[in-house]
Amino acid sequence: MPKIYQYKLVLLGESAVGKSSLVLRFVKNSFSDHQESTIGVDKDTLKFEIWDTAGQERYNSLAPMYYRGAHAAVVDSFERAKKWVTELLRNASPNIVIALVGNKLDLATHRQVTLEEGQAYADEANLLFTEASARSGDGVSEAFIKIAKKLPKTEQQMASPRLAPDARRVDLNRSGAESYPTTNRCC
Amino acid sequence: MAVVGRLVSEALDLDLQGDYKTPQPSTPRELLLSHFKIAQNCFDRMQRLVQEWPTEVSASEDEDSEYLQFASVPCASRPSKEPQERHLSLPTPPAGKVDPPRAPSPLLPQNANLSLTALRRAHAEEMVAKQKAKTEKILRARGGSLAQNEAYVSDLLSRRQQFYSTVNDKLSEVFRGISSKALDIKNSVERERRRKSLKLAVADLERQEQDFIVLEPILELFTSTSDPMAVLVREFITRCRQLLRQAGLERDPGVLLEKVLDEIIAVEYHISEVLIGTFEDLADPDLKVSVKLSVQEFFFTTALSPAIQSQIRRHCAQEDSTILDKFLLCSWEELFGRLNIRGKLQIPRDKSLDTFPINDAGIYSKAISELQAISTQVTPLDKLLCLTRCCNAICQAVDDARREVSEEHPEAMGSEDLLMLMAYVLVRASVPDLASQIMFISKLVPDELIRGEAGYVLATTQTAMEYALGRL
Repeated sequence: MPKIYQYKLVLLGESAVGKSSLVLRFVKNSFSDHQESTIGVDKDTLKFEIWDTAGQERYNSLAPMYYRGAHAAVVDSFERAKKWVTELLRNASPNIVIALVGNKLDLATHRQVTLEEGQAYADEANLLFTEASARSGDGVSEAFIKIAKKLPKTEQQMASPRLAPDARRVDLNRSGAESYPTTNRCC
Repeated sequence: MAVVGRLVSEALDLDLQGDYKTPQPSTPRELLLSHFKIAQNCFDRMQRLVQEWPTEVSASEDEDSEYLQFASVPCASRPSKEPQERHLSLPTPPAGKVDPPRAPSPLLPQNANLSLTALRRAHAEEMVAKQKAKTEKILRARGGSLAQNEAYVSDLLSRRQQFYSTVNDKLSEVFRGISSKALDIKNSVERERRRKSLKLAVADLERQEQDFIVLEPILELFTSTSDPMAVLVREFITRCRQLLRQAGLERDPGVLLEKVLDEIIAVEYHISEVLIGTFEDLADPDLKVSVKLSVQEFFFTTALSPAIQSQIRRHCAQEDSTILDKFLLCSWEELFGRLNIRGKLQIPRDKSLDTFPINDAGIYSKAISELQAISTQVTPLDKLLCLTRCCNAICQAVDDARREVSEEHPEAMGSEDLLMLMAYVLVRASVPDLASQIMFISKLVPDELIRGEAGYVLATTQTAMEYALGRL
């Protein structure tokens, strides 16, 4: 039976890099900062909650509220990727899938990073690497499908049941109540 | 007794100076002091609680039914997973364990706070309309006549309503009991105080320390029955009782606050689970959030909100005043520049005026007023909805303004733009206790919502607040 899995995906990049256009291209039509989109992989359905983020370069670090509990991240900037990856691994979901996407493939003449350089860097840091162009649409859905295939399809990501206490919650056992289900959540 | 009196006045002095710290009382004197401190704290807390207790105001039947309707709204947002097969019968309780849901007793909650604002009503109506359209679509896709389906939907809704009125009934009975008992105690203590000298009153307080556990008698009411609703209320009361005890012992308000918040979340979670376990009708995953929210709404509208909010405000007082100072002191003319807002987003400036209209926020005034409404809201969800409406108003304002300027399809607004404009709106709105409000929301709103669009709005608000602080 096909299952539905749900993931939070954050987009990281400097403002002019074009992360917003990437999502726009992926989910097409109207724009809203928060988007949901679905991908079918091997009969199962993966539902992405796509969070466009802001303010990274002004903070010189990521705004933690945005990426808390993220399962996947699309990084749009080669320069800062290294720093963000460290931060993501430390603070987001431990099994986070990070994809480095070289955007603006259509502007080949202004290419700053060669395909080989990008691939080498991504391999070294254990990231997914793709190139795409939000303008022409090339490689965009491929990037998301790559991520979808790599995401762990565990019980915890099932769209239902979603209700489980997190670590911050206290145990009512002290008063003799029946115990909570002890699920380990990643977010 | 003279000694006791002296000790008491010393204790009061010490307490006023705020340097009373005796972690491990060892001498009788210290022991007495710590007892006094505990009693005093208990009493203060109790009194605060009693003062903040919502006064009973008769709410019209209308408002009550609207409340119930609202409570039932999110529940209607069920997906289509074979609804007919699953919900043809009334929620059947586990054999021999549960009383079937009763019809609402005449003792419906008569609490002033239960009445709804127009905004909330509008929101509820919108939800109903949306859901109705969705359900109809789903049902039509499933086949069957439209009339049959309509009957089915209205049947579901009325059953849900009946269920919620039962829950509300039972819980509000308990809370009215607590409230009247607390008032009794307050009155009796005041009488005693008037009649006796301070030292005697203090001795009384010590003796009455046990009585401050106002929930005890109500607890007894519920010990004889195995009705699951009674069981869960009993559990909640037990926890409340422990909390009241701890309140007197805890010296660090921050630690206490964390405990209280954890406690509330745990209780809400637990009650939701019991409800879901009892009524199979509620087991649908999409409904679980609604159940949680309904339980939370019940507790917050009945009793919790003022006490919790004042605790949080105490905790965030420093931060709140720093933020407010900064926000109030900055000059609005420079604000767009300070916040680095792109020129084309500054459309609110009235084109006919050379100077920026100081008292007019231009097209963002709606967003600002939506944000300012946050202080009047009671439940975490309603506060969060204020933020959501504020963000929507910002996007709408930018869209409208651009459409006016050019006929072309407006360029999409990015998260960067939203962040800056949110910072602008935060500064202009100058909510006096912004940090407290954000903490209130982020600590108490269920996780399921934090992951969705509402969570995005919350994250944007938090980031915008820090951004504005760094820029001013």
